[in-house]
Amino acid sequence: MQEHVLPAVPARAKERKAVKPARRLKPGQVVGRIFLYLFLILLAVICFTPFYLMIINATRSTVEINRGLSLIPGKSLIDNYITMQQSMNIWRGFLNSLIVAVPSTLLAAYFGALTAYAFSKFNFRGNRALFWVVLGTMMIPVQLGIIGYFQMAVTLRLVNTYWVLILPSIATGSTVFFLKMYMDANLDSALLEAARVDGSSELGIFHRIVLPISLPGIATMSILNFIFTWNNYLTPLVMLFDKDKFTLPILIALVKGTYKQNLGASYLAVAISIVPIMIAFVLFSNYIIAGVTAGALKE
Amino acid sequence: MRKKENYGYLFIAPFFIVFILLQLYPIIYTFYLSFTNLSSANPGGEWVGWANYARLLTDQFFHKSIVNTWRIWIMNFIPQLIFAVMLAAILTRARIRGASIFRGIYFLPNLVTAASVGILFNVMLGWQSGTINQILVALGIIDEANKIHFLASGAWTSTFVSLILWWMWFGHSMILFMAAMVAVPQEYYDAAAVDGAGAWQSFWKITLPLIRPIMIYVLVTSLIGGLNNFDIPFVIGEGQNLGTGGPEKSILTMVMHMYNLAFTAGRQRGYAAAIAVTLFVMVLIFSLIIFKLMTRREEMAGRVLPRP
Amino acid sequence: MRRLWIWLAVLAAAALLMAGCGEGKQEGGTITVWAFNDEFDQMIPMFEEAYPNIKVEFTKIPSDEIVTKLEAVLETGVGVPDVFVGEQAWVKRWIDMDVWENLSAEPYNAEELAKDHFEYVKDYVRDKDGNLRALTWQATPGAVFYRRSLAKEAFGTDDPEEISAMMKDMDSFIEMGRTLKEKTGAALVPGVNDIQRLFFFNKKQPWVVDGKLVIEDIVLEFLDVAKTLRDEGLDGKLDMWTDEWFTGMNGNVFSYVLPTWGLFFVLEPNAEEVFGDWAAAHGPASYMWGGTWLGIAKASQNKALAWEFVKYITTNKEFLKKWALESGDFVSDMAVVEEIVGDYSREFLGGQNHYAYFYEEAKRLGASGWAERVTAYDEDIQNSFLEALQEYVVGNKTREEALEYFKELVKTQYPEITVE
Repeated sequence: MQEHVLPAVPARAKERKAVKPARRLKPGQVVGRIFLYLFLILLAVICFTPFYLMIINATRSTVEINRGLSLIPGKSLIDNYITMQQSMNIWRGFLNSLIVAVPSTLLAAYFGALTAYAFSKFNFRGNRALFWVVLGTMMIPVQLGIIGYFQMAVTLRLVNTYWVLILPSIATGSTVFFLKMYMDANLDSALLEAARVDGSSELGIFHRIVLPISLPGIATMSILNFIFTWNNYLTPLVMLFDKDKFTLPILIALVKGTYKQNLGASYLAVAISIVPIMIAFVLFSNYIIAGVTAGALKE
Repeated sequence: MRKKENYGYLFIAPFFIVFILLQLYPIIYTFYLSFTNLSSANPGGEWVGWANYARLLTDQFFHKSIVNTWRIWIMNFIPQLIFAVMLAAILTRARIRGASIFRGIYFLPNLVTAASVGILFNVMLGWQSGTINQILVALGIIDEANKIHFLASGAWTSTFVSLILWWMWFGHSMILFMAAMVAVPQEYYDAAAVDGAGAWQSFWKITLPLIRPIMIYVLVTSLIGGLNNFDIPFVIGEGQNLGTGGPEKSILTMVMHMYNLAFTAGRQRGYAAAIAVTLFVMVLIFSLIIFKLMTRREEMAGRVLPRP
Repeated sequence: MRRLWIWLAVLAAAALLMAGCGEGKQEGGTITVWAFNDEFDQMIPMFEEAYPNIKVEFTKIPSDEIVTKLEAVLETGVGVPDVFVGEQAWVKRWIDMDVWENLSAEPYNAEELAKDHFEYVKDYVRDKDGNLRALTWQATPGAVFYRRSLAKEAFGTDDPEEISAMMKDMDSFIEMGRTLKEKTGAALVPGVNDIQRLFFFNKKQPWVVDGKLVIEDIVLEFLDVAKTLRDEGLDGKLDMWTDEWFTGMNGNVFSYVLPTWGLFFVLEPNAEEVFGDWAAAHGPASYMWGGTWLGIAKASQNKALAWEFVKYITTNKEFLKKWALESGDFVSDMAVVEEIVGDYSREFLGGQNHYAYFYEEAKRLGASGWAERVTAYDEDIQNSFLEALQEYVVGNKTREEALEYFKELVKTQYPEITVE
């Protein structure tokens, strides 16, 4: 519901460990802490239960699911998988989502860094005003222009192609914003001048010096951009016609609309769409959280 | 050095070309369309002046969609804010074991595609065999014969949409607040402790005022997202024989109304464009109000919107 | 010079070779087809086998999306497929928009080719001048499928003839529901929406006459019958196409109101636990539901090839017969139906001859002349009506409020319709 746009300041601050010396707790505080933990655990259960039940139900047959709740897996995983594959090719959806998300992420990273570099280190006229325009773009959600964009895509014969989904990422305001802040803090102008004196071309400096130094910041934004594109729903819903071209979210939303209703297969399809993201989260959680929080740090 | 500075223009050119062609132009075009009657019935789209805007005043579903959009957002945002601030304070200051695991789990729902979440809850909210009803039966809260038909009731459906959004977003906001809170110097709390302030007092007197800029940031992004709410209500209402928008049109949001008008039966893109423009103006006004609040205090402006 | 001669010789040989492939196959090429139907996954290879020189590029678009997508390309004229489908619910739009070739005219002369088709499947796709704009391979008459065991328990018989006689009109149908509830506890129908077509097909006027919305008594009767069913607990309170609705097939629901394809694609795969315990009866009213027509785009550059495709799928009797036997689909050509109707016996229906049943029902449908009352608005108007009906039935709105709500919905979707 919130946009992944971050008025960001560089992520230099490391989380500080609590420095208070340990002290003995009074009995009242012990009870308080027990309740605190119970509350935290309850909330964790609420967060995780839907995913858990989803995975469990993905292994149960429709009849079993209808019969009642279960916390242990069933034996119908293979059957559900076969049923699911008959009505939709979910791996194709995966591939399509990757075809959209990977180039989008790369374009956003490259051009975002390039634009940010210009705003950070080039003192051209209108720098400040144009940067405000970039800020402004972050405030405009895609939904507002979707009707005009669709009409335009039809006229240019770009509907039902991935171009309409990929190309706009060249202008990702949040990435520019974040990376400009990052470069302001981490990119040493003297280093750039030295390279210039050595006769490097401007683009060469960007490729050989700016990009490597900004890589941590780029990686953080890229993960967020990737998730955002991966989860994007409205634009592909409007722009893509062909079932074979549908991205994962569109395909998943079709789960309900198929002739033969099979709850187990529905749960399995949703599970398959979610589990890779969960795995990615476990692997990259530090980067992701750094990306989300980066915008909030003031140091 | 003039030559060097010109590279700046070169480097920002791709961004601005794409922005103007693929983002700004469609919005301007949408603005233009809002003054035409472009639809299946009028594929040519003649100029109709303010007629579409006049129609907005009498479209009861549009009015309903405004109310719905705000209700769904507020009902999700207030608990989201409370939970996020509270949990951020607990996880940063109460020396919880496994804090990072809790943080990760709370954030997890935010990563999942809204379409998947919508379908998941659509299935879970089912009447006779829905998981939530089964849980309620298993816990003995209701009996087998009185399962609740959540998705036939406007109040339930709307509440669940807010609940799902809360579920998806409190972890996200919490992480933002945590980042703000760890940045508060420990000395402030130590000084307060010396003055005899308890945990609650420190929280109210130190933590809250210092995380205000972040709170405003969360407010702005959440509001913009909230006004453009579409995915979850759209997917959750599917397949319920109730048309999109749920029972009593209780989860018909502004963007959904726009989508229904523009891209389904009748395809009234001219009129739908007027809704988009209204939405745009609404986003603009509320963003400006909050910006105003933001820049009222100088130090805050410097922090959240650093000068280039 | 010599080289030119060689080329000419090669061309001539190629032309002869192609001509040798048989009539109508002189030219080759690629055509594009847009449809939502899974059937085309099997039909297209069959066509390509018969016409190896024509390649079909098939785009399968989900049924929820296809109207939107087709309208988008038709309005702009960019990327229009050579052949595209129209489903019963929205085929009228293409006819009103005048985007399909006139198949009654030269060079198609479809009237002659389709002379054995059921009249109503042709009437449905005639334009205001009576010209055929599309053709179909299927006819989709409806039935009331009921559970034999429950029929025996409640009414003492499971014979389709006797059950059909019992449900001769709506009042008797409701009365059966009361008996069922009393004797077996079963629900007459899964939900109130299931019976919609029994009413909508009995309308005497189009939904929109001279730009005005017409609400006939028969649809008001639907509102009241639905309320009665719900209030007396005669329906299963199941929403169509939900999981519970499908599960109900194996449970405590007496009848499902479904057409031909409903038998093959909906009932049989889902009612596995009560396989063979079903039969088809003529319900309180005849109706048809679904069915897909094929038309050739006016904007097409490959009309000759496109026509070969449409002609083959919809009028080639050999193909239709093969298709009917392979898929069990009820085809549109009466001559083919006559040929194969003989001794069908559907195990799922306890040995009943479903083909004979549907043939009978299709003939009844042909007589009622409803096809002329259909407008392009029907599907959306009826969906709005169902939305309002749902609000009334579950008690969110009173009867008056529901009707007002219905009108408001129609007005929002189609501002050009006058609503009083």
